[in-house]
Amino acid sequence: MEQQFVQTINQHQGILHKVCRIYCNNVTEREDLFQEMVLQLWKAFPSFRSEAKISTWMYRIALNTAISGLRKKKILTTELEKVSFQLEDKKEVSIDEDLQHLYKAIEHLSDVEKSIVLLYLEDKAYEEIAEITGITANYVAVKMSRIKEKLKTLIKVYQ
Amino acid sequence: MIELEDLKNIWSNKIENDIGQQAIEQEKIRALLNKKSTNIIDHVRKNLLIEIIMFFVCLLLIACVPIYFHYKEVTILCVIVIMVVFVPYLIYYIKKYNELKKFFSYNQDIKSSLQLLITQLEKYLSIYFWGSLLLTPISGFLSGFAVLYEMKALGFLLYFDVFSSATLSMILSFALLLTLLSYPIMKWYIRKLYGQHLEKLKDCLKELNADFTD
Repeated sequence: MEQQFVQTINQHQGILHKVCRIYCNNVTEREDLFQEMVLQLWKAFPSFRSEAKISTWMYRIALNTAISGLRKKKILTTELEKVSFQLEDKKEVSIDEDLQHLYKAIEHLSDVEKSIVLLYLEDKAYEEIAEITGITANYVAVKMSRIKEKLKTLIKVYQ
Repeated sequence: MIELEDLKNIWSNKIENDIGQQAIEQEKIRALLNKKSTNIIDHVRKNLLIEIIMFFVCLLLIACVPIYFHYKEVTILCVIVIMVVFVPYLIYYIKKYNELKKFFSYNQDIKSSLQLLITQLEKYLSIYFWGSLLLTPISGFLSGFAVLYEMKALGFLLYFDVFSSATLSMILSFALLLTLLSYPIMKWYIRKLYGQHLEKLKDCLKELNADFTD
């Protein structure tokens, strides 16, 4: 079962990296969240039914972990920490500018909005977003139109 | 200006390149399975384990008192203290442990998971708070009584009647004062431990429930 699980995660690890990218601003936080998501998926793997869509199941657990998880508070107190963040920022320069703007705008959304926007960007239908989040498809549409407005304003600021 | 449909294109065209750099091998994924979880439930479980260990260390220390003070009274009192404290605390820890066992995995949708987690966390914190608060006067009374009794047994406080109603009232007042003082401390401690996190979870659930109120 372990081998099957590792193969599944390896095949779909993109989902986890995307969730980490949306919820965490630095590499350490992303690594911690990735590890936690893998552990939660491993815990839930025995109850996974193969007739269900693997990506829906993975998004559900990954997003639940990201939203409900205890994340360490980021407090910049020392010069050393400031330097490490500057170095991290330099690493991010290689990312496309448009994508960087999008990440920065998403940072300002609430945790719930982040989950909806991620699924929207992943081209999921409102019905599937509703299935993952537990809200109605109509409400997903309402939420999405509000998020779009927010993102529009935020991206304008960053451009 | 960038249009919102363009965002989807930016995402689908460029995200794979960005996350592709972070892809990890199967062996590293396998290694992650042996790491410890930082999940809230595992955090609570770890804290409960520390509490139980500390409780047993305290019991062991009380049990060791008669080894150093060879008085029959001291031994009897230590046995009484252990029995009286052990039973309610044991019930308290079993109740907390059983609550933790009910905690779920993240198999459901986000809203249902949040609802369940909040309900279970609130119930657990309520047992934690009221259990600790109710056990404080018992522990306070017994500690006060044990200290006075053992001091008398060791030859101090010669003219002091430990069983007089005045002494018992004094110890009882001390226990009640301790309980009163522990009320805000417990409130602060539980809030510091999980309260802020619980508030964050409630805010998320409120946002997901807003379609019924909009």
